[in-house]
Amino acid sequence: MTLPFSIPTVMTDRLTLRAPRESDLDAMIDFGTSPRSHYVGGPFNRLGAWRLLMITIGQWALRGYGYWSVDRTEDSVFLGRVGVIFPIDSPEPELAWGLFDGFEGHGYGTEAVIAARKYADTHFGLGPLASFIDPSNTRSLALATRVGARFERAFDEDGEPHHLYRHPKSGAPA
Amino acid sequence: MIAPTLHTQNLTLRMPCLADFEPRAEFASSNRSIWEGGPLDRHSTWRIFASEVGQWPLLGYGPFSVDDTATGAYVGEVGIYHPSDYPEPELGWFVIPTAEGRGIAAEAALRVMLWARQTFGWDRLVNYIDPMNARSIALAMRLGGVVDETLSGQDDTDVVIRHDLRGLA
Repeated sequence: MTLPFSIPTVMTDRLTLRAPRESDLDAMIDFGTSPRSHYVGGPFNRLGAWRLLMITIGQWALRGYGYWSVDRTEDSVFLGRVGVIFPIDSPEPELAWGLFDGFEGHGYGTEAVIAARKYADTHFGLGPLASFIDPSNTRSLALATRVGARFERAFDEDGEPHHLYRHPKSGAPA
Repeated sequence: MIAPTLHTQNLTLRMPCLADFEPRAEFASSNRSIWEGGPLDRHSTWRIFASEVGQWPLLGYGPFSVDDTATGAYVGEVGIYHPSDYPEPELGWFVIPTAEGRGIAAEAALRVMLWARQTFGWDRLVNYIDPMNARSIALAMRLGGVVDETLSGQDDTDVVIRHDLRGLA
């Protein structure tokens, strides 16, 4: 399968950011049906997890940017997602990320986020980008701070509290 | 792949785009959408719209946005839907209220059936229709569909209508 609208591949030292594909579904279902998907509106049933993958691809078609699937390059293991999402009712495009269970603590998130941010800046013309983070999601808050994003304001979405973190535009940590 | 552009006498069927969202959301938020799982808020409509558009590259079929060729106005959607909980690909349609009564859904649906036959060689397409949605059932019959009680729908109450594509070119 090849995607019609170009979804670019982005390489980092250890990771490959690539187009989502059908074989991502099993990992998406594992993630989407687990409590780890709480911060992206889950947990979902199988249909909801399938929809997460389809929405991702549809958003690339509709907006020209979206979530990449992130593989560890050396063994092609699909370990999470990073990219720019912009649901219709969001205030602005969001730099978002999520690692699957077992892949935290290796700096993969940081590496993926910096690469995605730089690509979004130079190729999509997006930035300085925001990230909307649930204040109880301490791992994501720490990652945002580590890559140079700064707290800008608090807001509620669907009754859930969020902190908006603003990234530096350069793509490099501030 | 993305949707090819198809033409009928009056209509242009094409790949959906972001500009289609507002008229689609207006339809989905109205009582007209009760047979399509509505009324729905904008967030839900976005999720469904984006996920259906995402079918194209993964499955090679999906929704076509339908324009009135003469005016370029968006009038609705006809396409082949296949969420993971559907037993098989489904032919579906909706027309926005201001464009109803002009045979748009029928004209576009026939074109999509022909395209599906030519592209995939399928012998049939089905509709899953709520039994209370008399208007869509009537249209499906007018298109040559027959109720097939041996087939499963999206849920137990759906009327499943089978369209034989084998007579199409």
